[in-house]
Amino acid sequence: MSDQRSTQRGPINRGLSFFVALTAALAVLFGVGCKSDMRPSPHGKMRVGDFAGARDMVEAQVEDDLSERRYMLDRMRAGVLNLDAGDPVRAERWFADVYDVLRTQGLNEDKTVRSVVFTEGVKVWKGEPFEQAMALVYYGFVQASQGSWDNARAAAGNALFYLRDFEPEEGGKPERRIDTEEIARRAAAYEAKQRGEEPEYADGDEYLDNGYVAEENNFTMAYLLHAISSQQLGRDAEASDYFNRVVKLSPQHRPLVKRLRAGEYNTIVVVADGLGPRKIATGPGGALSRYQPIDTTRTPARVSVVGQAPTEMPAITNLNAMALDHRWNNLEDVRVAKNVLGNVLIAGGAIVIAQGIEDESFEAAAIGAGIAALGLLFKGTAKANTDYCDVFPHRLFVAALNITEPNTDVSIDLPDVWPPSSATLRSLNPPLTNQAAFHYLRVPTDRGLDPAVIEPTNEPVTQPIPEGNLP
Amino acid sequence: MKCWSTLAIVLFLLSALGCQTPQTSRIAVDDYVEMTAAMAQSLRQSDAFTRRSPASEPWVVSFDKVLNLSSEIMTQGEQWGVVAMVRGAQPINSLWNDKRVAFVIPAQYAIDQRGTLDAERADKGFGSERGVTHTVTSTFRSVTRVGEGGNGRTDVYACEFQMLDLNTNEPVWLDTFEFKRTATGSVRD
Repeated sequence: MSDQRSTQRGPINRGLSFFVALTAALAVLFGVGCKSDMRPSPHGKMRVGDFAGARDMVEAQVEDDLSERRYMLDRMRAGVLNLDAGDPVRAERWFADVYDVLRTQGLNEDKTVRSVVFTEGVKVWKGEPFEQAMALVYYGFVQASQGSWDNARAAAGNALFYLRDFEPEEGGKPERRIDTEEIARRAAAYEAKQRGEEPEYADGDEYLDNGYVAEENNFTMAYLLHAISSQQLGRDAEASDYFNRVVKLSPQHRPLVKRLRAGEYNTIVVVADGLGPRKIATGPGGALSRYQPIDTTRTPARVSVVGQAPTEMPAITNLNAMALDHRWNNLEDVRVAKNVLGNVLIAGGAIVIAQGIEDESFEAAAIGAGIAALGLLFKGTAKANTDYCDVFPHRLFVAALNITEPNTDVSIDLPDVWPPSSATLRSLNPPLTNQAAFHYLRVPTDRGLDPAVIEPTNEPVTQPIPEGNLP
Repeated sequence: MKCWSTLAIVLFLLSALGCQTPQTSRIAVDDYVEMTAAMAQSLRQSDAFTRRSPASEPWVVSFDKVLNLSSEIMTQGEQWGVVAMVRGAQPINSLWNDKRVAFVIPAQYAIDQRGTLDAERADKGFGSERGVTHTVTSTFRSVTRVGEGGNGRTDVYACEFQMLDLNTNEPVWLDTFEFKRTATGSVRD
């Protein structure tokens, strides 16, 4: 009898042992993968305006392997901090990589099942929609800083594209939204009309506006960048449509748009302040994620040009609000379900183990342990991944200035906040060409009464190539 | 043994499910190679070029930088890279032998490349011994279509080139080259 039992139990025990060991190993393997990769934060350096130091810190952390989860995240951080540090050329190199990843489809296609079964950590990080859009707008800033208004326009268009809702309307019918071919057709018709040719309008089209604005969302900064870029390229009709959209989304920016429409500027200054929200795991078992504001100041900034009256600038982008509007939640249901299932399995496993001990049954105890380990695996991988781009600002402001004298200082203040924040953009010159100059600066928030002084690094070339060599 | 094989099959299926190569609908080098060949053919067949022979008065044609009105972000380096690629292509270069047309890079290239090694070379007497007779402007446009749910993306690119006679300010050649790039997979994730 005893021999019989032992021959029957042998294979079962081996199978159970294997099952328990495998489940425990998986729990360990994938359980650790659910946490975000904690690295030293550059926030301390950023707060006091040491953007170059923060940039160096982040660049030292950059992953070089495209299959690494943080490949794009690291580059996004390095790109933003390089622009903060006043180096758009160096920023461009990082953003070019970011753009390349964003334009690559199917990068995570083969990881969907594994990300559901195991953890989101197996996917290459491509960010939330608002992070993708912000990165593209920053790429636009980089391009505008270098005088490439055509690329700034393309970047703004891409930012709006990545916030677009691609889902059809309820009922299965495609959205009633004009697509880009329709936009191109209307634009061609408008341009034909401008040339004095007979445009090929469809019935009723003549009552529409120029039809350039394709993507509809609330990312005002991207619309404004598109409008300014289009205007700088001499595409006034397109610019007008985008300006209309800015005023519709943010009526408080009507005075700014009026100034821009009138062309009463030759310099655009974009100001960034504070820190964007942090991503945290919350809810049962940390299965849900949300963005928690770090900075919450709401007062407008004030920009002063020597010899001109100060102008108040309301924020055109507030990342706290944007993070609420444009983020993924596609795996949240899966994670919550995994957490619940994990709890059930752990409880069930514990009951089976107790029963096994009471019955002196090794098999029952082993099965219980396996079930509990599986529960741990589910719970461990149910936690939301909290990787996020931690260097974006809290807010963005835009000023349209007319710099008429060489070596003009521009100061930016954030009044009514403590500690007071201010920065000076030193020695701006009028642009040499008929296109506007673009400057970006980030105001440090913890410098006390010591304002940051920033020398522009993207001043236009002042020594042109000798005329004799020009075509 | 049965347990092992079942597990191996499950793990294989998990890792292989939906496996596909990442794709992009950005312009690729092959597109430019095809475009330059088509461009050379178009130039040869144009009225302005059919009248020319190896004995004709030489034309020196300067390429302007691409004006990018497409949805693609093309850095200045990439824009000049396109110009350099077109100019350096064999079909374009061969126009010198039988049509006496030479294509050159403009001084703006040197301005944009200041501080780089290329600029050091280019700045020294850049373009000083040539008399540019024509200029080629190029404008890139694109149209994007995205599949339902953001799956799949197609970009159609239209690259328009125009050659202008600097003496008469009249266009002597104009053509548009189109190509389509399609990529499957989610545009976001």
